[in-house]
Amino acid sequence: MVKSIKFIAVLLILYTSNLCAQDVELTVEEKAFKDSIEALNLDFATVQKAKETYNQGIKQFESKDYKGAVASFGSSINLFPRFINAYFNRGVAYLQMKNYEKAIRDFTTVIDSNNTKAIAYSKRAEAYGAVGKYNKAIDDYKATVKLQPRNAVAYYNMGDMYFMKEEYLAAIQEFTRAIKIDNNYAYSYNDRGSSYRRLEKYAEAIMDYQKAASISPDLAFIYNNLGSTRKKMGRYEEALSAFNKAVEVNPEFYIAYNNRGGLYFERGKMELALKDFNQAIKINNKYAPAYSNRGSVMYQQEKYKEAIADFDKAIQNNPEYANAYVNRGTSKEMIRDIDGACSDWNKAKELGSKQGKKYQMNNCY
Amino acid sequence: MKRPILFVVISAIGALQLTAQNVEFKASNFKDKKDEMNAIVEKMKGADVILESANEDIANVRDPHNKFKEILPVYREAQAFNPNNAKVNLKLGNTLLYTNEKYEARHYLDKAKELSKEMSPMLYFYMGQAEQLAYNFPQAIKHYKTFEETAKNKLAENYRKISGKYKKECKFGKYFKANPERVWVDNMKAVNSSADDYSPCISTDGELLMFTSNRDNGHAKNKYGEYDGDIYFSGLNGRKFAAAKNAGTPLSTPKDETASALAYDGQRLLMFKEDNGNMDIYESSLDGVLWGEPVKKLSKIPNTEHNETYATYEPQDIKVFYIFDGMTRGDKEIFVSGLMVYTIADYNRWGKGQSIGQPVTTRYNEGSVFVHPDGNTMYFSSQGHNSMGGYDIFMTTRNDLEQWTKPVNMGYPINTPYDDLFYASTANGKHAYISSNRYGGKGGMDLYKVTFWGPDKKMAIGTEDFLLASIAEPIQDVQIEAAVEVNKRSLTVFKGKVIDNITRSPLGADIIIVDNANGKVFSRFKSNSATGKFLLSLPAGKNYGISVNKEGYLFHSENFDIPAKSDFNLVNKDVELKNITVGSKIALRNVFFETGKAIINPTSHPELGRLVALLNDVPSLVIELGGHTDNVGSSELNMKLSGERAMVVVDYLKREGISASRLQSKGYGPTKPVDTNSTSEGRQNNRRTEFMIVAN
Repeated sequence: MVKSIKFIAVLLILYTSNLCAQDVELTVEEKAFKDSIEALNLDFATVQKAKETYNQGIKQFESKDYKGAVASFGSSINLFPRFINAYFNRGVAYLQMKNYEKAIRDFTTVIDSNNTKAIAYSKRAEAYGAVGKYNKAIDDYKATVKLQPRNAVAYYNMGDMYFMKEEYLAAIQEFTRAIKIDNNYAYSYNDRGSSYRRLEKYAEAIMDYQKAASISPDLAFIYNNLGSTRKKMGRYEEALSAFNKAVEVNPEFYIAYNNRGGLYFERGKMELALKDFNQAIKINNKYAPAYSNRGSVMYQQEKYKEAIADFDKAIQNNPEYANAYVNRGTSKEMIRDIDGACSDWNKAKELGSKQGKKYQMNNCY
Repeated sequence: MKRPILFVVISAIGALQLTAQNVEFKASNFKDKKDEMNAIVEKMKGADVILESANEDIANVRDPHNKFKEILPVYREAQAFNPNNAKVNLKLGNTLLYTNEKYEARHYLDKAKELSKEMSPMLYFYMGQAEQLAYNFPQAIKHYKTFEETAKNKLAENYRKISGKYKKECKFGKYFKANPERVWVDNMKAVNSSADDYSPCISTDGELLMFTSNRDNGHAKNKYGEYDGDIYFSGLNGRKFAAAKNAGTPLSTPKDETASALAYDGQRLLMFKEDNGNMDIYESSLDGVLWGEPVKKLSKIPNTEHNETYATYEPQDIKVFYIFDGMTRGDKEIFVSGLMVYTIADYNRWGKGQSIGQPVTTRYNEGSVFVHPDGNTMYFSSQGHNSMGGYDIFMTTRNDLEQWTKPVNMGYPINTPYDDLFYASTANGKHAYISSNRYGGKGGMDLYKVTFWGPDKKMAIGTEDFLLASIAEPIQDVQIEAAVEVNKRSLTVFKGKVIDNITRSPLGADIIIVDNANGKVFSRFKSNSATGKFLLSLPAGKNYGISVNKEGYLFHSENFDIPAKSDFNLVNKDVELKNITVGSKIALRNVFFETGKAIINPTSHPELGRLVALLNDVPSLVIELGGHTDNVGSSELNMKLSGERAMVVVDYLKREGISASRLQSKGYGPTKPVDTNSTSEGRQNNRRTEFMIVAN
């Protein structure tokens, strides 16, 4: 672009200092000038088309037509291969489509052309994180905060990557940095609390969850985390009140109903447990754990057929859900289908369930 | 299944004769069948003696051996001959209670009760047992109490102890029935026969089952109408044992052989059989797929003139536990014999057997023994301890002091008020095999498979947490780069020349191109003084103002469009400049008004600025601003509007500091057209603001 403008300027200078042709008819020089202008116009038209499709891509993106957006940004890039913003936008659209490898490729193109564009690093990190390349994600978040040392979100996201790597101490360090920059960062408090919880430092975890809840009292999942941490500590009454709060804040939060049901189940309150599992299913009829847990209530009530029907539904909704296999196996054993039981326990074992492995080893040989 | 069918037939007959009277074995009652009756009565006399002796054995806790078995056919025949005799029904019921068909007893006892004018105390005693077998424990206790209250001295004394024991059994039974074990007990239907199937032996891996059965083996029947005991085996097929096969010689012969334990690896078998009129323990070893000739396991000393029967290995293989009936009291006990010197030369020197002692041994019979592969757990059956009736299976463990601890009843439904014996378990303890004559089997003793549920299997309760906030409620950061302005840039070649409008000679004039959209100067240049020509490129799709200025000439101004899409890409513009002479009229083509109003459009300011400059440059100029319209619309209105527009231009110039004395204004309306009014282009040319030089 810059080059083209310079070119015109040179032409202008040339011809304004050379306006000496004599006739109405075009002189040779005038003809040459006209031809060059026409060639230039062709270039302009291509760039213009690239920009138009790029803008169309943005409209498609905004109306969540990510596939269309990707196509538009793509043809924009084809017309004008150095259109870096189009690469960036296509990368974001790929992210939305969960096409992480392609997103990574586009962000890399952006970074190669401009290595000071912080958002390109953090976006690429997001894609790396999504495909489990946590180390690469961390490298990119580090590049982000080097360019933007007060970018609390980047520290927070880096903390999440360390959490995913189960490096909870490092995670806590990043969350703490995020909190230092923004001491009202509820997400960071929550996730730091979860890191402490993973380290079995429950008291610290609870303090962080409480802080997070005081900043964002409308986030139900924080109360849920608080509840399940208290449950781990054996503080059942307090756990119950936290779960109660979670469903009060968000009456559609099926996870919390399921957790509260789990608490009731553990405390032997089968009727209340059943009610909560039913509610979780009512809100999300694809939620495998709630079906599996309701099946467990049925099992406890010796209704093995009903139990198995629920475990079937759990597995239907999530064929990788090990608990449902463990429980279905145990229920099948009670109706004397030992082959079925063993095949379920074996499947649970394959899915990594220690309980399934134990039952299979103790009962199937 | 032949027994249950018989039982049903008998039940039907019984029902028909509910109101029947007791029928004595008298010739007058059986006029047609006197001889037959006499033969039966004769047989019964012999049987009664044996029955009495057998009952003595029971009362004194001795093994009645085959006494009940021997007399059973006699009473069955008698009862069939005369179903309405109270005594025969009582005796048959009595006998059945001590056989493997205990569940048949109740029917005959009920019949005896119905036919009796006066209840015999013994009937209560046996009714108690029948109720006990039916799990009616409180009713059973009531009968035993009635028996104790009504029995005459000698009888009561004889049976008091055993009656007391039965009452205790009922108490235990009530408890065990109410607190069942976490097991399934299944009849091994594929393996069992209608005869006796018992003493299951299992290899530690659970894949080879051996047991004993007196099922039809093609040999001659004995005097009880039974075949001799042979050893059978079955292999695991999937999770079930296939139909059993006779092990054949040398394990099974036309004599009685009983298997009693498989070595843990399944390579040796302990068994017992008769030698010199008593039972001794033998061992056979597996050579490839063939069992070797059984040889006596124990040397002479433990294999006494008494019966050594059910024996078991223990993991160290230096002791044998077995059942021995040579005690003075006559009951069967668990004995143990150990290798005296563990050297190769004296390998087979076994020590004298000794009772395993307290707390395992009881004054009742112990019927079987099995040592679990762990070496510290022993399962045995006994009529004593807290049995709920007949033999029950118990477990005892060895403590750190090598003592056996107090035996524990294996509980219901492993145990029942019937005889439950033997216990062979796999190494993992998940399955065990027992024998029982409980109701519901295929007849006689049957093999049962015990499946332990194991420790309470907890349901796996799945709960989830959104530990990471970014996963719970992801921040939708979908910021993308913004849209770009698409300037439809195309260039058009703009050329032309400047000439004197009178002399037509080329003029080198100052030319300024202004982008009217923003009022900014786009380009500033001079026309060639020799040719008057100029040439440049202009972005298309815009409206431009061009002003051409040369000293001494009236400056020229006009506005023009460069079409966005020009097919020509070339716009030609020739400009004629006027000398500033009085009377010249110059149209201000770049002065615009709001439609139909006398309000100057701000885009006019550059042009008006140039007029101001002209008036300032040439202070002698006196001008008249004239407003002109086309001929469209009311002439009167056009006159008025053109006048007002001329006036506002004057006002503008005044505000810019031009003396009012140099300015005149006039509205001409459509009266002075410069072009035709019949084309739109012509009309556009006629709509103009013009100034005329009045004085210079």
